[in-house]
Amino acid sequence: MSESAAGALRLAVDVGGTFTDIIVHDASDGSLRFEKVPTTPAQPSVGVLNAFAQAKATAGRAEYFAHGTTLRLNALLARAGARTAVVTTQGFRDVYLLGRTDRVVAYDFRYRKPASLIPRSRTFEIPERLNFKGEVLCAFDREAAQAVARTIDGLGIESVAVCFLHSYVNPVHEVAMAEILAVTAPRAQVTLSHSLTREYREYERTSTAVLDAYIRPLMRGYIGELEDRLAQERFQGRFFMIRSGGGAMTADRARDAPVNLILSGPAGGVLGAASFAKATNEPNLITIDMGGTSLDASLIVGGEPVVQHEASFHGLPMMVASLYINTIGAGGGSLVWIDEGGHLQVGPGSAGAVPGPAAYGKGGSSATVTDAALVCGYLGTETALAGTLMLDDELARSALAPSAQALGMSVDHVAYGVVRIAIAKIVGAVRAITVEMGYRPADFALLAFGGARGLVAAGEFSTMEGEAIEALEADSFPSSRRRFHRLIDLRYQGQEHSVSIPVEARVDAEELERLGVAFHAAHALRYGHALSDPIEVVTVRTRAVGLVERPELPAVTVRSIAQLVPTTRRSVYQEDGSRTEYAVYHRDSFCFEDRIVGPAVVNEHTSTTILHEGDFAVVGRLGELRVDVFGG
Amino acid sequence: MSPDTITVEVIRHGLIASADEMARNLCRTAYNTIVYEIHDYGVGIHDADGNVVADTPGVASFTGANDFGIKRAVEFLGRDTLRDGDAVLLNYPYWSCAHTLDALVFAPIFFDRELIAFASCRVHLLDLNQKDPGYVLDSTDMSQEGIVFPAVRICIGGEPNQDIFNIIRFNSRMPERTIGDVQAQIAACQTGERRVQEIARKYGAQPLRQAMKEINDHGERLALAALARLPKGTWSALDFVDSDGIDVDRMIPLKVTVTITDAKMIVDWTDTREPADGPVNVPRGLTVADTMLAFKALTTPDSPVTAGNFRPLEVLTTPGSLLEAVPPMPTFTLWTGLLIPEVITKALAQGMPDLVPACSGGDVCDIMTLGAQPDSGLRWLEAINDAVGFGAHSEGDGEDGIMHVTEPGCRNSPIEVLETKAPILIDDYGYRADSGGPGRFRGGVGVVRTYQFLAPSTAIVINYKTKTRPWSIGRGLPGESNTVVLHPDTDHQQHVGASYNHFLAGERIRNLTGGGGGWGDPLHRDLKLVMADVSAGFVSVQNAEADYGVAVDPVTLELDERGTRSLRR
Repeated sequence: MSESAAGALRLAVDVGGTFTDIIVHDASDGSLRFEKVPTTPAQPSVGVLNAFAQAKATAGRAEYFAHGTTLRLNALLARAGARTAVVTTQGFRDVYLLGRTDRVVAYDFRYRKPASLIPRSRTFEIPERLNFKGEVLCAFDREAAQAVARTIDGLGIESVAVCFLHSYVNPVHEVAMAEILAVTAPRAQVTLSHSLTREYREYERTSTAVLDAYIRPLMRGYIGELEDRLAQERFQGRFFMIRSGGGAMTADRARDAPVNLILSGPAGGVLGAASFAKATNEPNLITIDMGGTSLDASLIVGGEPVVQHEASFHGLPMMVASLYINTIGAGGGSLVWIDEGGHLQVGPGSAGAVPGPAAYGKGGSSATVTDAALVCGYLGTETALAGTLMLDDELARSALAPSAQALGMSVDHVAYGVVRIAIAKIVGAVRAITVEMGYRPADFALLAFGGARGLVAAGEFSTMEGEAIEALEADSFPSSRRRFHRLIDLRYQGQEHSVSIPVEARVDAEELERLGVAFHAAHALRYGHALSDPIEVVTVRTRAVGLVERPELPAVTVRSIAQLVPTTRRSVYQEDGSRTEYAVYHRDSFCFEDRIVGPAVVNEHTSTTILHEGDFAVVGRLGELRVDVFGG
Repeated sequence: MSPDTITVEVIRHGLIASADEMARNLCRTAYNTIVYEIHDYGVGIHDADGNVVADTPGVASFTGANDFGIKRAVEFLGRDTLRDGDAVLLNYPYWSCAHTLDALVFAPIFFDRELIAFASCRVHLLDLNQKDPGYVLDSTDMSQEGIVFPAVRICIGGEPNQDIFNIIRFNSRMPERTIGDVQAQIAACQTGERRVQEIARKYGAQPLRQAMKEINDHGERLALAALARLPKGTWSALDFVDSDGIDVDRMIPLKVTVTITDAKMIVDWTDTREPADGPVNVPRGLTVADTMLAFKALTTPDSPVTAGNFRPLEVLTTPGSLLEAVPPMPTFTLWTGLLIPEVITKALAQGMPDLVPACSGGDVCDIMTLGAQPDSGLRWLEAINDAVGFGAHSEGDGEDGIMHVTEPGCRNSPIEVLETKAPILIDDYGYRADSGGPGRFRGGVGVVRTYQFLAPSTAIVINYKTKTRPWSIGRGLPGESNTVVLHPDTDHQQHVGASYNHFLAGERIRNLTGGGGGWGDPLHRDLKLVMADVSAGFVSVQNAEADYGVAVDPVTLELDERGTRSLRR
């Protein structure tokens, strides 16, 4: 790796379903550049290199390259991953398919689970058994294992997940299975459950291994392809992937445990929010990221994102560290409909990216939240969304017209109602995460990012003293220093739920006493009470972290000349049925300490912020908008 | 001015979020795993008359029962005696509509000194000095079922009523956890109270009241629209409770007559007249709540629960009968209630075989195991519900291995967790092949789990519907019944239903859960589907031939087309 010379670039790229975003930090002038190019689904690495070009980022000058992606999630959703098999303990081939046998929908007697990633015919058993202490009750049957490996090879299976009972205590049999597979089924890639998590709960551990195995060939292929292209462009810096649990992992590590990339996309935004929390002295933040089909809400506590070890992706559990993110089906594309009882409803169905909201003019005729926001005047027809997409007000209105007729209301009033209902759902989701973690929403500021975000932020969060401000993308990650974080999961004897407590390397009597006190306090915060029961250790975790030098975030300029002037004016629908003129500003024109007084609309590349009468915003040092909501 | 329908929806989302917050707070603060792991709770927000306007998914039959409990308690206490900050504890089975351990706590919600709503929270408490630890299978009257709280104020004006807490403290085998759970219930109700008051502050008490009325009127319109589409007529059905828990050989009939008109569904249980000697009687409120579960699934499964949904539902019972227990009839084993929804669908299936599924495995198939740890001597207790197969229907197969229709949020217990906590080794756990009822669409298969005890232990089998098979629709065939085998694969193996059993180290018990009933003629099942079932091992080669008329080579598992043609002719 070359020395961090003046003029070096740090790059961050997020490959989403529709767009590939790039942020470039140029050390020579301290500037940040942001660009957006279309994602190239057939060969996403092409889009990444296109983004480099669009941002005039010469790969040869890049010192760090941090990469997040939601792209391979589509493979999971479409069940288009690798041809995968499960190998498990004799008597337990169905553990994975049965799962926890529960369901979310309460009243559907015809309920079917979502399709499994693998059919039952690709679940295999090996005679072997350990007890919970890791003692061998039944020896590993090598001959049976070889027979299974031959079958796997014969079936042309691409990827194998191995999970034996109690392997988290003693992985000896999983390791033996891997050795046999390497010889007898050399074309198959192998994931061992204990290498991803050393915790009990066989279904969740198997599911983690299956997710890993299922996306492994795809992710390895993609990372290799990208590395090749970067090499062609004379990239000599370090290449990191954003991991679901925060932080970044080297491309090599990502190849070995791709399951850690499943929430890579959403994690990038939350990590950016965490560094922003530190930079702006707002240690506690609620983050919301609203996209086309869904909204992700997350928490920053004390400047750090909240990490959990029992995450899931669309109902598929994964026992790897993941940021705590609550996803609800409310996005710009959520569909508007009238139920049989004559009430207006929003979602959970979505118009998706194609055809998308009616106003996109891509053939969609169903009304969505985006259409409603356009009719209300929150979005405009005068500026393009994401650079190129112009909205059509007439299409939005005609899509909403049938609902308006059914309700006997004006199109404007229905549009306003759609926005109100969407906000009500979002507020519920945000309250849920803070309450579940034992916090009060009022102790948090609100950080909104994602396309549709500003619409909701200024609307309803007055009770939470929300401050809608711009998010920053994750930065680059060099590795100069190392730190170790040791965590111990404790619980009251016989209970299920545990609490993670940081622990010193050396556990002596004093440390034990401190742990006890800390556990009782943490349990009281998280669960509302402490018990006098004995405490037991569930899991010990160590996290090794490479610390990075973070570049100074560039401050926005101070206004020297001219007043801030609106680019245009727009009429915005009000609750009482009237329309009011709102000044429309472009965010690029803001300088440090500018005050924007509502009624106003702030437009930008990727998002829109609405300030109603009585609201005002101040531009912070880093260009963030600090909104004070008084009206609403 | 009354709120427009959009404002009503906004308020509804606020109320649902309030109920959700109550449930999250409850799970966060409850002391017992049955609440926060298995989700054995019912949480709701109700209007000033006790009618539910918002709830969260937990045990499906609890929320309807909460309405009933609140109404009875308010009637008993007198509406005028309720004060701001009060919370009421009720577990008198005939009013609270569940056994003594499923205790209801509710709080009146005041705004501007006016009662505007109620918040309710029911959980399964661990112990109130019922005759046996854990569960009661053979009580003969209420006095054996634990201490009763007939709508007492557990909080007065916001302050805990220590007298009541002391009664619990001195009348429970596990006082700290039982009190902790009651406190969690109170905290949940107080969360609901604060949130509803915030909504009242924002929109005004009068608009909120009108919105709650409209939420229920709207719920009624949804149900009526669904009823209008259903076939009209009257149909009857019969099923049996395995036994009353005392005389284990005598089955108890459960008969229903269902009538659907343009504006009503009448569910008439008055042919079920006799009371039982043992604790399988159910209070009327629970009969109604379990009937509501079937009605909701039939009419408005996709919309949130409101009391208005059930206005078109009429439930008839006879006082003093199995389905309307009166004091001091024993009611502890609520399992009769598990049969109720599917006896109703059995009647409906005669008139609308395309609209309802066949019977599921029909039970929650619970085995409760307990004993002393061999090294420490500490007592241990584990309860495991196992999944069943769902019934097949006109559009497809029933789900394989899924928790019973009455317990959507419940989950199985991880084997590694169980083996760490109790001296048990699970020998096997998986799908029970050939248990799904054959049909053009196949009933889901049940599961099988074998326990090996590593130390002397007791197993309480709470497994009913072992004596009748899950019924099918049309030419479909029934699924296999639930059954529990003591000492399986030995020369003294024995099939049992609900029972207490004692084991020595090294002995085994096997829980085989029921499969769903089939739908339509199995000879008309798509060959590809039969072959897929054979290849996955859900249907054996023998049964493919015997039930589906499909000949399969037992070695290669390939289709024998000629053999099949002659079998299916």
